[in-house]
Amino acid sequence: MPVAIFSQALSGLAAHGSVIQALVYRDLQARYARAGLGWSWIFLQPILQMVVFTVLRGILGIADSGGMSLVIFLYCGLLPWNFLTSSINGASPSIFGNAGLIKKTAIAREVFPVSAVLAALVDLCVGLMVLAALMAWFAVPVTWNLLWLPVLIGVAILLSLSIGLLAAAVAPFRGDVHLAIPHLTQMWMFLTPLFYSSDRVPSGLRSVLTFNPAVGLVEGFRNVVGAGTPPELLPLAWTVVFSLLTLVVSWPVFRRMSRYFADVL
Amino acid sequence: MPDDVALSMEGGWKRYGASLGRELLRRWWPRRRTPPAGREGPWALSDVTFSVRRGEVLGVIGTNGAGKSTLLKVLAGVSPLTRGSFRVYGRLFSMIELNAGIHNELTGRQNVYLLGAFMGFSRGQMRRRMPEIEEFCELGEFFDRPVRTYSTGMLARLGFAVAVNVDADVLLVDEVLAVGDLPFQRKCFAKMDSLYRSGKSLVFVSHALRMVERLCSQTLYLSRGRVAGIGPTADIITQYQIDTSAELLQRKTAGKTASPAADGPEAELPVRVLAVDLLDVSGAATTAFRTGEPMTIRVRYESDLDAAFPSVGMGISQETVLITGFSNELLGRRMPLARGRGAFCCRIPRLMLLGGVYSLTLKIRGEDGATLGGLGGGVYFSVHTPPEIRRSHEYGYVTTDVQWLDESSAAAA
Repeated sequence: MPVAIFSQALSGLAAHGSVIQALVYRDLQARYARAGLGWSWIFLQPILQMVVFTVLRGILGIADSGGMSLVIFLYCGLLPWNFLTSSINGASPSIFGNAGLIKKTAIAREVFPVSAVLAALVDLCVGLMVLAALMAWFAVPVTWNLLWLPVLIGVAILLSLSIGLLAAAVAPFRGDVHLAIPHLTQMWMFLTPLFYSSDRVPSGLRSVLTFNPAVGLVEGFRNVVGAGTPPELLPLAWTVVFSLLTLVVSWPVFRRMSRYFADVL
Repeated sequence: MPDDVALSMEGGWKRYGASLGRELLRRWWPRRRTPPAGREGPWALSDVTFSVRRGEVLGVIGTNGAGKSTLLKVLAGVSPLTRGSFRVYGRLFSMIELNAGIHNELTGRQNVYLLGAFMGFSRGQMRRRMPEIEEFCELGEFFDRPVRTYSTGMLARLGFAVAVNVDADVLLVDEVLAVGDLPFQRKCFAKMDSLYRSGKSLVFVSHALRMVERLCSQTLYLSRGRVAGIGPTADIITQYQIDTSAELLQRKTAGKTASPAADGPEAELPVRVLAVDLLDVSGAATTAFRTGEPMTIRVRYESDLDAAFPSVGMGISQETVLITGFSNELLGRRMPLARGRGAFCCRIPRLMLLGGVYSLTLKIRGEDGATLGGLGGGVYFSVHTPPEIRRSHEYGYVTTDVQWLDESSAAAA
């Protein structure tokens, strides 16, 4: 049964391939075409973020790096995190932001949050290229564990979609969703070991971390890329389970509400 | 379902206002009775049933708020029916709001691919059609320039070119047909012609009754969400005209009487108009007339004095435009007014007015020119134009008796 749903989803994706491609291209165009520095901003964003945090490190005195350069430590964590947040922040307005199209054509509404996630994926891929350069610079050892990367990216997409679909479905009906999400993701950020590693967290708070689905993802990235070790399977499994549970709720809700998008927009 | 039906709707009802909570409830507790409709709106569509045959052009008319756009949204698959169903036999393409998907930074060519993608056509399919589309929109080198450099006419041409060159069995069209300059419009009409000759069906929604009458064999008339009429276009348009005139008439005369107010300025004058009746050909008082019919205006008055040669002038106006004014003066027709109560009539053998709502004014003057009485307003009547006259008289306020002659007859005439 899950296989059937999965293959149905894939074939649906293929049929809508050109639309999704067009939407992603349109979103990226909108973001970068008018910028003076143009497409180079895709590279600049992660680099600038890196510079800021490295400076912060000096000011705030964040010491421990868990055996790897702090730059790598931060970058490996930020990459999947940025993907997650920009997916969700992009998915939530994807329905009411495309009101004109939705009121006019009958294409499957899923293409809108999906293309938001894929647009974030493009940024992620560029970030990976920058990461590769950083790894060369800091002489980080390359291990077979890097093969975990596609898996981790897949999990990240799953998590983003599951939350993004829910946000996209509810946002046209409740404007609060769109406004609340940036704040919620900010709080989420503090609960995620981005600037600290989880073994530094006192055991009492550690239990909170176990419920955070982003932990498995972020630490997995760090382990695989920065330390050359395989990701911790238990937190990662929780991320997958959490995503699937959310998807089981969010996708049907999306389907149900999508019938009325054109009415309320 | 008969083979030649392209689209059919059965008992379609639609209402807006599905609330988030109730929808979710209905999903997981289908047997639980949902709470009574509170915030749901009135029915936008009520029990709409109709069908479109292959190669047919169906017109859809109705006043604003009648449910036309709702119907279009439902047919395009964008909005669901609350009750009832509809089926499209083949592919449906909505040409309404064509430019919703256009992206300004991309070129015309790239936007064609984009629009095609939104309509469900793959890049390969669009590539095959690209030469025809490029030729149809006649944009020249602009085709490969960003769309933000286009004028509105060019944008419309782009959208239209995509729309008419893709494979669809049913097309939904609205006033988008009227964009572009005249040669382009003619090209569009020609293309539409060839489309339905090849068996495609069209649903044409418009306020332009002349266009509807010209293009559509059958028409659906929607009023307040219901089917007020469906059938041959000429009859339906006549019905629509009668209905809208009657409504307008009702609004204008609501609360007013056709005689002057007792305390108005006209009440001071020696001759007071008691009533103005408009009579049709059979002598019955009415406010609805047909173009070409006779109309008799009967004025009942009460006079304080005798007048041997009063001049009576009447005017017929639509809103602020005086269409025609006439009086009995030059005819030397004696129409004496006697003291006390009396009446006089004026007969128009053939009413030349076209469809609409009109008002009548009248003024009575004595031989010396002094105003004896009159009525400044308050008398309204409606006219509707039968199809035979509509066919040759499309515009303006009045009909004209014309004969179309060729050169030889003109020389002889």
